[in-house]
Amino acid sequence: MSVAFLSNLAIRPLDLNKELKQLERGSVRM
Amino acid sequence: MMSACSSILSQSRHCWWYRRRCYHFASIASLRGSVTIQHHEEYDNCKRNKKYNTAMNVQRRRDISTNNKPVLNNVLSKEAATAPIDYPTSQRFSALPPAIGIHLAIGSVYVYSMWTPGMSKALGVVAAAPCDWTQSELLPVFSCAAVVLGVTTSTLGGWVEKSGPRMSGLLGSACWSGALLTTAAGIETHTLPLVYLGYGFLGGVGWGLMYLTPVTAAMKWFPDKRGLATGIALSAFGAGAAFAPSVIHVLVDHFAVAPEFVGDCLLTGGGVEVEGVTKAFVELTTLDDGSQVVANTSLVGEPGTPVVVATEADVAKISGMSNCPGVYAIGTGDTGVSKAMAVLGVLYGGLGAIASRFMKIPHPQWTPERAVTYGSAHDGKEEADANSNETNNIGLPASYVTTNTMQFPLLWLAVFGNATGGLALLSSSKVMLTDIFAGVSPDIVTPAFSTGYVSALGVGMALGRFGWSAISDVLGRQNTYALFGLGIPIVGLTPYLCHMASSAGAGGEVDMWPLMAFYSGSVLTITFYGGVFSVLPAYIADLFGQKHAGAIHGKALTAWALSAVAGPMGLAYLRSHSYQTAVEDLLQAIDRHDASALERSFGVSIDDDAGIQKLVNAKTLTLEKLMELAPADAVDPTPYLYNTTLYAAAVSYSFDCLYFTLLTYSQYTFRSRD
Repeated sequence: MSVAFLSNLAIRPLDLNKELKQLERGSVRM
Repeated sequence: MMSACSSILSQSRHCWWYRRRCYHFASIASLRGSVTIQHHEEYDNCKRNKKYNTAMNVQRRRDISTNNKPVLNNVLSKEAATAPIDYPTSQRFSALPPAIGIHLAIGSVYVYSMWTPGMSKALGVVAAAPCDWTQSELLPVFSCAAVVLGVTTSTLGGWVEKSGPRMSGLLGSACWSGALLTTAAGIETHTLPLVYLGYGFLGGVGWGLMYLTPVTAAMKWFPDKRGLATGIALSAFGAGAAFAPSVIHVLVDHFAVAPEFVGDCLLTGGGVEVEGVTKAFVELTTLDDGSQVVANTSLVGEPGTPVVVATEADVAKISGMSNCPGVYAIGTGDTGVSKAMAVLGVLYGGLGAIASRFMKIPHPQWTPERAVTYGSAHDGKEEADANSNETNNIGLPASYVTTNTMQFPLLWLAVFGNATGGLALLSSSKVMLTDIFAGVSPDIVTPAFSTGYVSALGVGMALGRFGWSAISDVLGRQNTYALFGLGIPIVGLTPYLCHMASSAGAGGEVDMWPLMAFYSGSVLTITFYGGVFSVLPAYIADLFGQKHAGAIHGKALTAWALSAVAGPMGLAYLRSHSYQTAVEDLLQAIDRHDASALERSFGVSIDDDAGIQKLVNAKTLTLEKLMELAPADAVDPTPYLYNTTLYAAAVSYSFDCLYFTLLTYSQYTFRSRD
């Protein structure tokens, strides 16, 4: 359960371009 | 060719000789009354330019005086350090020498362990006097510097990006120079707070600024080969640490002054008949605070003189002074540490300041030619996206990265674990070499060999910094971090090597392989320690983009700072616990063998725990002296003092593996979901 939670939510792979677009759109809170 | 000529001509119009020529034409024309229109225009332009230049100079002077901007600000500003946008890619290597200069200057911050033996004997010189600083007082100075390093990099990382490399480099050099000079003053006057203010505080600020500035600048020049860039810059940091021990050794020997020799000593004092002649020995009295003075009844020396007793082991550790074991007066010699430190403070400050002046960074829109041609040749979206991380003007903000990604805390943990393990080995390896291996094979492990070993550790760190980061460009950053997990078996097996060395030595046969294995294993592990830091900024730039990589790197370095605090504090605790246990074991062995031996030699009963503790704290009662009183079959506990430390280091290395496993797992799940 906890391992699934970690892998699905917490340590999601980082996609720089996707994160940057999200930041530009303002869909992610800092 | 024509355009070049016209540009030269247009520039030359501002020159004195052109202006003089204009005035000359004008004067001739007025005389002859035949002035050409062209000459009229040139003359007007000339006058206008002259007026403009004069007005600009006045305005510039006014700006400087009214805004209180120092003149140097023009040279040190970020604008002055920024190269033009069309800077040739082939010349980007010219930006590296100043970065290397700064790191060479700050590299010696690591070899604090070279100073501590001298600092802990500042008054006794040949051996530690009771009023001298203890290791537990001196070790936290480095931790203090590391904390200040972490605070500096995490808070000033953004400022370093904003103010440019010249300003931050110069400020760092001033702090580092001031740190060494203040510490030298502290040692000279024997004032511990000055040492903390100098090496602990100013040294930490200088360390942070001088570490961050060249790394950030170098990476901007090599967005396509970040590992190589950080590797070159940081191997200079390691090279600074590698050269420093030899330089310190030479300088300390040069400034060292031998203390006044009072006489030979027997623990019992009095006189002994040697070959028909009664040889007099110094008789000592131990005071309430554990310090020793020449007794009133002593045949040699002035009664009441505070003294230290140097054993053969103490004298063997000193180079540059031809001392023999015996009694020495306190406060009559000089270790040479303070003067050597002051000289290095001036030298390093000068080197750092000159290098900072020539630092440069690329224009924000600059990209290396390879990346530009690649992007333009392949017009597809995927290639452009894949390549976009090779530019300097994109990246996630530091505040976003630290709060919204799991990669940052995981990376932080990996750095923390690796740094703690590396620091544990780094700080104890030289002492282990001198305590364990020097006892087994004193002919090989001489003071010069030990200094060479410290230099080898520095070389290992430099090679690790360059090698691992250059390898990471090929292998990938994550796989390189996975390789650092090899530190676990190496550090974990070191206690076994120490045990093998001491048991082989006790048998009369000196086996070389434990020494060789210890030497090579510790140097290899130190390359991991260097590698983890040189791969880190490139890894951060790959993951989160280059734009804010300096600030994120600064925040990640808090892991290093915490490890530098937790490491030595934990080490000091583990070692003192092991030492205390060893003293108790030896006392039990002496109690079984000859209960009155301790009282005869040190005037304290074996049951008097408080008295014994006082002598241990005053360093009058050491493991070496207890071994002289212990029965012949007693096992020397020195090789086992570091076992707990090394096991703790092996555990901390496993953080690295934890990081690798979690990240690999996350990638695997990502791929399977796709």
